[in-house]
Amino acid sequence: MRSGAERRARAGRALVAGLPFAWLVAFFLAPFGLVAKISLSEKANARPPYRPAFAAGDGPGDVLDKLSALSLDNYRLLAEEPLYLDAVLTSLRLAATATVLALLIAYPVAYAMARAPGRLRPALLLLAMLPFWTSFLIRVYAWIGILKPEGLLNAALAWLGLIDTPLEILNTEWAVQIGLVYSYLPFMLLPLYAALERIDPTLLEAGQDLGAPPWKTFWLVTLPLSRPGVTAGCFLVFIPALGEFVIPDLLGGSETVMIGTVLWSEFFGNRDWPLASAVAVVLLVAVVAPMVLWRREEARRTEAPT
Amino acid sequence: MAEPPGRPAPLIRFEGVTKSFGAARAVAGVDLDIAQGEFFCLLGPSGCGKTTLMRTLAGFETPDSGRILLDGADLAGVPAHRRPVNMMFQSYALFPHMSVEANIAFGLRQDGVPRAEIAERVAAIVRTVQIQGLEKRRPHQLSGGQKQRVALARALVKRPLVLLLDEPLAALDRKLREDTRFELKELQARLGLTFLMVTHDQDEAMAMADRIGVMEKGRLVQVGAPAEVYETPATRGVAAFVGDSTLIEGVAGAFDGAAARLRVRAALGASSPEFVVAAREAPAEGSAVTLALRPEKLRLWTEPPEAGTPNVLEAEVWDLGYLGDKTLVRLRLPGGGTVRVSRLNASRRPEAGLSAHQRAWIGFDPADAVLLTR
Ligand SMILES: Nc1ncnc2c1ncn2[C@@H]1O[C@H](COP(=O)(O)OP(=O)(O)O)[C@@H](O)[C@H]1O
Ligand SMILES: [Mg+2]
Repeated sequence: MRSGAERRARAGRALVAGLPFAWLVAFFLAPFGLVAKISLSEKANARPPYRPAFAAGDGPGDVLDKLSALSLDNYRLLAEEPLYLDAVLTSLRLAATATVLALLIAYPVAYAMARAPGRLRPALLLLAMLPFWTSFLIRVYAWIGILKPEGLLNAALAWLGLIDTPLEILNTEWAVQIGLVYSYLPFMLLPLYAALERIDPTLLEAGQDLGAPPWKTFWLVTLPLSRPGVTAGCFLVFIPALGEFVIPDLLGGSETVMIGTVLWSEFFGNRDWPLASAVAVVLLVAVVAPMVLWRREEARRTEAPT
Repeated sequence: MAEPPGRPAPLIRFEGVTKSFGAARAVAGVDLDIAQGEFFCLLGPSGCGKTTLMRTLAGFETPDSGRILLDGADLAGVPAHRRPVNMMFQSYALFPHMSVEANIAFGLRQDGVPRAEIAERVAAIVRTVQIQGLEKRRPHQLSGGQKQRVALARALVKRPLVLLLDEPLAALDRKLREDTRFELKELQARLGLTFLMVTHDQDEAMAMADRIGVMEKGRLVQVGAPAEVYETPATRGVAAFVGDSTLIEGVAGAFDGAAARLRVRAALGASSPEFVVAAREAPAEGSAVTLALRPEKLRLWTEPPEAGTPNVLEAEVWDLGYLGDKTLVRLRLPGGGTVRVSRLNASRRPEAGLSAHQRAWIGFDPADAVLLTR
């Protein structure tokens, strides 16, 4: 009787602990396994468009044969063909720049929001999230209207007498950079706001009480305490910006090739699923590696002083 | 302003300091002098403006009018980070991302004190407040009492002209609070520092302060030594807030100047007994006065006292509150109203011969009632 109840309780606990794990396996690890497997395959004019393809009726011999047919050829191609390496480097550069710019723009805004009177904050937060109410695609299209040679920006600059000939911004990396910063700014703003808003204002008074002028208190107290928001915001901008393909496609023209664009054209243009999968795996590693390093650094830092 | 001879200039002087938040007046025209080396305590109910007054000295609030002098210099326009005072915050406000050591060294670093001296002074103050061994910990790894000590060390290590303490013991549990009282007091005397403390706990103020300033709705209503504030409260508010008092309303009667005695006709519900109380000067005959009676100064008899005993009232015991060291007896007066009398349990015999609903007589010496006209 009692042991039965105990067993049930233990099973319940295992279920609760196991659910997120099962979720992770079903919706993250399993698809990743599939992609990794396809990236080791070979393009084929078939359905599905790669070889080997495992089938339900395969015997053990068939499976072994098919496994031995897997190869790293696609990765070799990625490493040897400069087009791919260039695309990766361009993506890293654009995403990193967008992250830094978004941080520099969002920090003062988030700071002002967090220091605003309490009754104003919900309204300010709503304003910050307002862009999400419009389709992402439409917002990027709107930038074409702003950036094109006869667009709003050039018209405004000409009217101010700052330029004679329109600036070439659309279909350059500049346009992509602007589009990336604009699109991902809210992802930087919200975690920064959350981190800054949580800081106890008496800590800032304590800093001043102990002799630090306001700017120094900001540097020694506010900035370090907002670090979790900074890191979260940087990841939330950097990761999707790295794989972005809509913005370079619409604003960058044929000039700017980001890794996301390559993935898109290999998959849908060339129907080369194996190569596209290899690109996806490389992209994932590029994203996960810095995160793992950061986690390890973080764990080391928080445990050290005891 | 020239000082009268023979009195040293005060270290701190508040002159007509007023501060409002919107329409609410938090501090209303406070004048106060505090001497070097004094342990001064601002006492008053929550929300009476104690913290706000203290924050004007720290530089976190700017007075709407009035001025504050520190060591003779007007503090107007001096930002908080340049004032030679340090504050121990009610929430302690320890920097969560720094070790105990770094928290304590923070203020010295701002002053550009050489490294070796910082290390020395931090080590010394760590010994003074007895937190050796905790230097490398982060604030979240400390108990409440330890945090309190770190906050104290962080403020003291800068050797401020005045140490400001905002409810420094409020977050500690009772036993620790009482021990810490004496430690703080002893520390203040040993270092010869000036402490300005804010508290709503009258026991704390009594036990620690050299002088107490009682605040009421933004005003400083009485300043004096603990015994003075307790034995001769200046207003009804002070009598009610500092210590326990039974307040009895009445009307001033005839004044006997030679004996310094005033007759007071009390209004106790339906009855109106007449009392004789000590008074230095007479309020206008017929004006409203209040008598404050401290529980420990009231006498209690189970038999009628002998004739001629002044100020006797017959009453009914309502209930007995046994507090260990004393018993608090609540009595109902025939005309309505209750009176509290405390009886010291000086021996281990239980409260003999006293039980609820029995008849009893209370009385007080004319000198033991406090006559209040404000
Ligand atoms: N920053 C502020 N803004 C508005 N009202 C305040 C502020 N600080 C204090 N008050 C008000 O001023 C009054 C006195 O507050 P305070 O000095 O903190 O009282 P105490 O320390 O005696 O409890 C209270 O009514 C409080 O609500
Ligand atoms: Mg307060």
